Amino acid sequence: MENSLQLIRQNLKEGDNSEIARIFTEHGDYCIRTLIRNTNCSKQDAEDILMESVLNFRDKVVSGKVTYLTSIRQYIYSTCYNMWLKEYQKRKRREIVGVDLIKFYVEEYSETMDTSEYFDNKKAMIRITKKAMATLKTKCRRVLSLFYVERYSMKEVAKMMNFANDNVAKTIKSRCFNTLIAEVKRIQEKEKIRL
Amino acid sequence: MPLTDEEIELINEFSQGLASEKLTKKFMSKYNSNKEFRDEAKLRLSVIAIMRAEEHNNRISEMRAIYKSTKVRKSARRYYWIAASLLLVICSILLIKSINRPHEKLFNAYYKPYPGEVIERGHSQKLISKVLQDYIKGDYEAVVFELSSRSNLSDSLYFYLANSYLNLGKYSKAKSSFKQIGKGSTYHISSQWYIALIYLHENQLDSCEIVLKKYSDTPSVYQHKMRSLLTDLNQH
Repeated sequence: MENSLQLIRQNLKEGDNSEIARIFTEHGDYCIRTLIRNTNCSKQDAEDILMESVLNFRDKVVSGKVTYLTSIRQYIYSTCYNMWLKEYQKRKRREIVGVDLIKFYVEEYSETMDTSEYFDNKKAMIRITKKAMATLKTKCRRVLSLFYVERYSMKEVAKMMNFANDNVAKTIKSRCFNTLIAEVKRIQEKEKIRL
Repeated sequence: MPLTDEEIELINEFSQGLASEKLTKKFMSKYNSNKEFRDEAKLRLSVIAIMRAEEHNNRISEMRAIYKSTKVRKSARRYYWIAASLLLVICSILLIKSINRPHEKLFNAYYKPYPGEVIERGHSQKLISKVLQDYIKGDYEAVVFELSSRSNLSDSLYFYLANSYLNLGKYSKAKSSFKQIGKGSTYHISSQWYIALIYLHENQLDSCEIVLKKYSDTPSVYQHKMRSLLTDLNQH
């Protein structure tokens, strides 16, 4: 299993998605069926959770956080079940409305942000940020994505982007992020939207 | 008043989850006391959250696309299995049918196409030699084309016409042509043998048996075959 995980990791790193397709083919139906049976959730919910779970599996394998598994099926199913449990508990606490993006956006920072104020402008903020992102150069978008989204270290970003060293990467990242924030502020100002 | 580089760095470190306990306390204190700092922090955290949310959604869409493609492949595979199973069932039915058709087996065992050999003199010599040439070449269509529109054919021409029909798989036409050959003809017994075989092919075993019984005692080149076929029929 260790060897096969290494192989999966290597393939995933090279952008080969056939491993993901294989996981869906071999374990997808089992996970959906078992999750529905054990939690009584809808098929749509089970499929959504499966997507999240497989994505989580991919990230963990690629990042090297998972190096040994006795059973991929059990790992994916357990993640599905835990995700469902987490979601269920959250639903019990409060009703989450809106599109997936907003749901995620609110969930991610709900504990650090003033939610009620935040909620009013969320749609506008999403639109503005996307608009501002579109004005950035491809290199800038890639650096920001690698650092903030994929959470690579500055050293890894420097290596991946062929920068001289991590200090260069850090400078470029800061410059790009400040440009992005400045653009967001400019659009906010223009459209008279406050966060 | 704009934020200092140090304050911006503090927000960045906090947003990446890299801030130590001391820095987090510092962040929270500034967040609660300084409005400008709070607004800047909110903005920066929101932008990072939106970037992450956007990327997450894209990756989920990618997962969904892969999942859907596996579903399509699965259903295609299911159709292949159904098609293969149907094919297997059809083949089995055909096999069972062929096993249950002993008369065809007997026909194939006994039927040998008549070889082209005739010497006949008279007014139709030219025609018979052409028919024979075509027959020997295996051009049975040409024989049928040449003879089927003619009437009052000689026994030998009827015989070759009937054999051509037989070789072409036109059994009922072959049978009626064989029946045109009179009792006195040298081809009579041969034609009766082929009529018996046609009955056999058509699974009219009683008619086949009647013909065979009638001629199996008459000395001919087919006598042995007729008796043997009779025995086989009785065994079946």
